[in-house]
Amino acid sequence: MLTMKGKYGLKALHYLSGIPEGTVAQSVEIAETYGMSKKFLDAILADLRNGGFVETRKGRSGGYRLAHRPEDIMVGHALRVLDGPLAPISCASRTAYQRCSDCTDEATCAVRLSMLEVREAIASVLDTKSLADMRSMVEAARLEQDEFLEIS
Amino acid sequence: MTHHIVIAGGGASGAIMAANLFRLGDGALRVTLVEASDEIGKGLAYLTTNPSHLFNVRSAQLSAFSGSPDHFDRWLAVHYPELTRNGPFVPRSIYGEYLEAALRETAPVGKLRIIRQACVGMRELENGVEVTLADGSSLPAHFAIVATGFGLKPESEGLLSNPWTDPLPENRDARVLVIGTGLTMVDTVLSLLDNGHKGKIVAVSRRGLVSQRHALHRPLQLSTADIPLGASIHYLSRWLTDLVRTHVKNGGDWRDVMDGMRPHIQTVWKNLPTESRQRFLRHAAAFWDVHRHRMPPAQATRIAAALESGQLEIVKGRFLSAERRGDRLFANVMRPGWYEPGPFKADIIYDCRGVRRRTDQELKGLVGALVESGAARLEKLGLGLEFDRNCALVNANGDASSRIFGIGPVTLGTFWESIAVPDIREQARQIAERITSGRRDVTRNSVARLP
Repeated sequence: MLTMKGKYGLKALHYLSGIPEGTVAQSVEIAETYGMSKKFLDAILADLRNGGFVETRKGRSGGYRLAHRPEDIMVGHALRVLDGPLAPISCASRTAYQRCSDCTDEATCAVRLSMLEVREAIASVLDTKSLADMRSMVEAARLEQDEFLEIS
Repeated sequence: MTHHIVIAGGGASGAIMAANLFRLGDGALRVTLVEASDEIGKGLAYLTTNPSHLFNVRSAQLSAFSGSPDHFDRWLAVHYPELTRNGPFVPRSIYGEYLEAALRETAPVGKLRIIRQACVGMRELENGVEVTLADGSSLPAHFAIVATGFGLKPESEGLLSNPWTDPLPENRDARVLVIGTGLTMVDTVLSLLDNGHKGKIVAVSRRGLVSQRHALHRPLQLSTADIPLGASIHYLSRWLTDLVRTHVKNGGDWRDVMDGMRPHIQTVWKNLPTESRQRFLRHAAAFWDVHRHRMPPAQATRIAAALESGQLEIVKGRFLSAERRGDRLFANVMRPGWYEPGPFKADIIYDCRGVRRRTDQELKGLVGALVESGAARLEKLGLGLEFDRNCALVNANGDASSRIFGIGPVTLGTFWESIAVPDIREQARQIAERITSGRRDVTRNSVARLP
């Protein structure tokens, strides 16, 4: 499930993938850009640092930057560190497993069996989409939007 | 058209490759196995004749074909029914015979040729591969497969004895030093005990860790969606230990988690950042190996008894060198907390170090020749040759070959786990399907390469 944390984390990574190489970004500027709470964002960035996706530089000119090239960081990989296993429903995961409170027979549950398949599909999309791919998607969408505005 | 495929190396990997080619190729191909020794299907692990040297994988997983998983068990029931009564772990010495039988069963008459020579080079041409042999002759082929194994020569180096080829000491009271405490040490100690050895055996390795014991368990059904791919090794190892802890708390066994990870290990390794791979090799690989590659119960019980009686002792220390003084050998071992190496007295020293971390040695034979000619390159950490995810050899420019592939331990540097039969037969199936499906696969691959 995509939580608020996952959503903000991906936005922060998207921001970091756009800053010039060799520079860092402070969490204040990321928080202001997307209108998030800085405190929440700092906790998210700490998790991403723990997972090895972002690095920090300390001191007055300190801040955050990506630990690898944007082509080498997959959206699905970062999302697992933010939100745990990729699963649309909590009984569809082995490691963060939670049984539904109203469940009578899990082994033959139609919803669960379908969601197990969905889980694999999510992984196959998000594990091949890098931060660089995400940037180009955004670029393409922007171009389309501009064209649309010009026509109308 | 009848394709001609040359396989360099006739050990277990080469034999499994050939059998899979015949099985999936509808008889429309010819295979040449190039193997310098007289044995087919018997590489480093399967040359042993000692029945105490067991597989550390259950017999149900040893079929040469992923498509018919009970192939080995059926052969076993016909030829060695008595072995099936001793539990699921059978001696390795019979595997070469099984692979020969699998080859006989799958190879159409006149389609398999075995050349008793070493392969010394491969050159990719526009329409095929030119394979050069030690006597200077060359073989034209449509495809070539490197199956040269660990690349360890079965010869002793200097004062160190080779556990697989050198004879056991005649003096039963000899003081034996074993370098390494992995599964090769286990096999060596069992050979010594089988031989009635009475003398002290000391095994030394940096961490002094001994392989864990196999036990009945139910592998956890993990999906890649569960595993934190691409995260740092620090994060990954904490995730794994947490998972083990939770699973054990819920009444499971840690082995369930290790074996649940097994199908995903190549994917995890592929996505692990380079510096994390380095950290893993330096700090965690030894711990991983003793939990991942376990001893069958029969072996574990004998090793535990030898440790209990004091005949076998495990010592932590780093082996530096060996020297001869008079008729005795001395090994220089740096022990933890010591400022200089202390000499260890021994009558015989066995070299049972692992295959993975010997990156200092120069590359010999075919592998060295491929790197020198630019047909291959080492992967980033220098653990071995680089292959793409379809087992195609990657050349000096970083391009994957469409005609030269690799299978088995020679691909270890790229895939991390490619030693055990279940991994090797899966590689064999992939390569065989790619070769035999011909043109269909070309289109499928170009689609896969799109961003």
